[in-house]
Amino acid sequence: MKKNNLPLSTPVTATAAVLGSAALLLGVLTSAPASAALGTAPVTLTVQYETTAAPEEKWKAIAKEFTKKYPNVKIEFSAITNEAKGGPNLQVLSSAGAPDIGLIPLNSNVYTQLVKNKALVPLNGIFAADNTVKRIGPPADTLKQADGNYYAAPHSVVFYNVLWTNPVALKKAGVTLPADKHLTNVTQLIQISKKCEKAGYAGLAMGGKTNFQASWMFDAMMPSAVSDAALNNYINSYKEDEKITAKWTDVGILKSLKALEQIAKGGVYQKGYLGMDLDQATAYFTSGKSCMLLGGTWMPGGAFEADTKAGTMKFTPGFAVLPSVVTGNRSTFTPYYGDAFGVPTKSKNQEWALELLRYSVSDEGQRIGVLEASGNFPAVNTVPKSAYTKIPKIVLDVLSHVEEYGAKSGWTSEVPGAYGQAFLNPLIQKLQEGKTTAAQIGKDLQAELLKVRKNGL
Amino acid sequence: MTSLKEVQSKESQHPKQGRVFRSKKKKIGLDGTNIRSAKFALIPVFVLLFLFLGLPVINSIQLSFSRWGGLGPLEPVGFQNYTDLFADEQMRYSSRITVLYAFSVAIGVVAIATVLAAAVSASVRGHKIYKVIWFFPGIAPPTAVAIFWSSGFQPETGIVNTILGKIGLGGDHAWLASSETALYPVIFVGIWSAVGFAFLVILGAIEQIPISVREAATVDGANIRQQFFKITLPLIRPVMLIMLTLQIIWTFNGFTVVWAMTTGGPADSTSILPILAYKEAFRFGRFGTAAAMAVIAGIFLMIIGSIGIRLSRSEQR
Amino acid sequence: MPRVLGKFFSNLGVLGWTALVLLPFFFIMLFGTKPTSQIYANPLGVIYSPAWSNFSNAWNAGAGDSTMGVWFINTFLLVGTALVVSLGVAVPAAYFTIFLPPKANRRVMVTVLAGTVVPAILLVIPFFKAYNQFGMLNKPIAAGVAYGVLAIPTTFLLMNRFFVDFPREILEAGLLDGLSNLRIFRRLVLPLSVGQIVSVGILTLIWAWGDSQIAIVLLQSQESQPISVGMLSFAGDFTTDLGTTFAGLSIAAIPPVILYIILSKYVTKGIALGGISK
Repeated sequence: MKKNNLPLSTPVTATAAVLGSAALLLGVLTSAPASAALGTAPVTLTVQYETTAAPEEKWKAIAKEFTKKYPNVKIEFSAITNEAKGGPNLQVLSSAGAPDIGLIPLNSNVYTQLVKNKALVPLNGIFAADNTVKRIGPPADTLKQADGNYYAAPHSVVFYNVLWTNPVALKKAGVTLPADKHLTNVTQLIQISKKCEKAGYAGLAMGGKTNFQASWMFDAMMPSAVSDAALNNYINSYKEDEKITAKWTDVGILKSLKALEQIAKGGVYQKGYLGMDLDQATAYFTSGKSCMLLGGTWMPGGAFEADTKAGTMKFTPGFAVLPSVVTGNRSTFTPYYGDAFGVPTKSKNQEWALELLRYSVSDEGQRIGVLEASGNFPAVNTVPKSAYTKIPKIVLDVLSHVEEYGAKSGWTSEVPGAYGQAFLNPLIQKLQEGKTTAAQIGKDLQAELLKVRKNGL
Repeated sequence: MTSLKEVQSKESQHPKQGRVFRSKKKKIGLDGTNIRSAKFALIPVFVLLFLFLGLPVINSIQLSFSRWGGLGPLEPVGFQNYTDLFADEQMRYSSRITVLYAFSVAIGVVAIATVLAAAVSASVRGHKIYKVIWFFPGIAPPTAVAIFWSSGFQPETGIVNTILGKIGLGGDHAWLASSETALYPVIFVGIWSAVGFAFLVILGAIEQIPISVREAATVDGANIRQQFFKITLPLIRPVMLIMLTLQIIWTFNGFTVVWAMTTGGPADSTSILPILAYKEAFRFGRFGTAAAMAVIAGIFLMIIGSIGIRLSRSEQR
Repeated sequence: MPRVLGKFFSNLGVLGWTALVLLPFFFIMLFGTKPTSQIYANPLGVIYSPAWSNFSNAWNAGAGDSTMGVWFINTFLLVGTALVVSLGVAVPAAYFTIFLPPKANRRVMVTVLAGTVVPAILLVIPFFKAYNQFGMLNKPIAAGVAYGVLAIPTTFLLMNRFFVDFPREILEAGLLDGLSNLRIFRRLVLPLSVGQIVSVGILTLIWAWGDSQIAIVLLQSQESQPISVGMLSFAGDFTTDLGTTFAGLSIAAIPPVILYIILSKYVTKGIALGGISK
């Protein structure tokens, strides 16, 4: 599989196996001090991060260590909203006031345009050093652009499409989840929700109003209905030079979309879900109103912890996996490493920015910043498991589950948003409302694919 | 925005001293130094208006004939963006709901404001307090207002539903969650926050009706309702029309309330044109089509505006 | 009898509307001071021990340099700049324009009037391009200039109306005293126009304080945003913590309302005079 876009689908178990031994070797290499050629003149770097607590903690921790090493460096921060990071941020990163390290969602127009207009500094040095390509694994292949350069470095991995469960509610509803946590099919999910409803809970809480959650489930369930080769093609075929081998009107896609329609019609979601954003849905779940929540691995250390402290969340959550579309297959959690970082060409301190970015993907930077400060998973596979101390137990359980069953790439996280998430999400909302059909969405996607190939993004 | 005063001042019931002064004006107006000062003082006005209004409009029009992803040079594409938009179902839908939204809010606002102004002007008690209080919704930042209402409209947890539940009207309405109904709460909030302003304007117009006219009507034995329909309404109709026109334009352009309440969803059902254009530009990176949307909306507004102004003018003559 | 009935219904309407106007503010403050657990348990209850910590939580919330305090400062910078620009440019121009011969006067009026009908949606993207080109994104003061210029037409028209009606005797008296035109404007006209300037200014203030359409585009980074834009992300930061969310709404909504109550005399007058802010 050339240009493998399935970062963790090729069993993560393999990665995990290498983890132990390789870590010992590489760990030593990666923390080697950087070149002294950078000088000691005072310099101030600005780092951009998304305005939620975890990314801030992450960069603060990294900055603290980095400035200890280089006392002449001062690091400042600049926050960007979830709404802006994939859109207007393009102009911020290409403006004279660009931060030295910018947040670049890989599935956004920002990344597409910055690369197209050569507005990012190549990161080849970072990828060549410290064995970074190997340590990042398959995602590194995807990051290599057509011109042979790397422009963005992944920073952490989270998994989404985790079904967080409320064991208290499930028990009251008389629901027992399968031992392997995988719901076998859509009917089972609907039945569980019906039982929950009888016991006074909504089935599955989701933030249907957001610009991503409606299409999330497609990411988890579609790979269970198509071959890995087809998935790979769906992810890459928007590029002009890639042949279309899998069509959007194929049966696997239709089945997945129909499953989503069936789930919505089956009354699985909480009432008014299309008017709630993810935060409201999360609150709905943590305050004990639903059996399940469509969420991700960042929640236990974030909203769940906060709500438990505030006393509004009164149970310890469990987790499950979305149902498969084709009997015998499994849906998986979906990895997201897409909030990557890069150095804009407008940065006035490119060398130092590259050094800081390099440090942030070193094993030490990943351990201090990603693992310890934010509770996410590192983007590299060489940080020893023994360092996973700050990650909540339940998230570690999710990781073990991923190591056992794998995790397949999510389409909306891989392709540029104008063709992917931003395009598909309203269509799925329409599907959930019964305003369009699975067949129609297939046709829409196929038409959009041809349009994008013809006109570019 | 068009100044109401501009129009009002031409009304005959508006006792104008201006006319008297106009004759005297010549005296000072002929003073050459003042004309020079006028020219001098007007330079910054025109320079700024050109920079911030003229150029952007030219730029938007140019952009609407181009393809542009947010970076790099423009790529001219002729009428492509426009033909694409005319064929686009979402664009047609959005245009429809934008008109629906703007007209519903404007009509609602003017109707309620007129009724309230009539009621307040009829009974003097508490007059001043209402003038102050009813403008609160127009003062509070629209974002905060919209956030309050969108949380209030949530089923079960929202305060609107809580209250409806308490009085037996059901507490689980999920209006914002369905593309069939999501526009209604948005229209409601639009009206709620804009009535105060229109009320003050219309009350101002009513208060300018000379007391003698009203007294004459009372002597003729007209009751409050007759007085309102026969005397007040015809006299304030030009102001109502202008208010209606302006409210249509403002609501049409309105971004904040809709964005904060629904971000245009669900399924783009509340994506009025400003929101659609914002998304087109900043989510899809298609600035050319977004500019074309803006140009179309702009032309539409200018038509509405000129019709409104013309109507209200002809009313006065 | 029908007269009494009419009175009854009009009073009912007046009281009903007043309730509808005030209740949201009541609930914002009620929830803002209520412990979150009680909001869930008994949302309508009015007896509780106030949780003032909601306010400090809300005030200190936000990531890094983008707390409510910062948003407030940004709002002040933005609104202040807008006022300086719109009043500073439009008031003198509006005054001296009254001396122009009728033809020139009309031309000025038409041009300015045209400026009032340009929809914001047409401006946003070019603004954004231009601001980006000159490195002016994420600067509240720079954004305030845009707001100020957009308020110029309305300010100009309203002030001009006022100056047209300005008693000429005063001007002539000044002239006879040998004052220069500029002095007449500064010493005689301006002091007597304070009321009108305040009411026109407040209309600009209300608009610039609340608008988010231009600010959301020109002020991208969160630490540069005014309260109107910052609030958009604020609500999401406290998932279940409704008390804090509503405390935040109170902080955002109450200051302009209080300012308005203090200056309401000018505002209501300004609007009744036909003031329409953009």
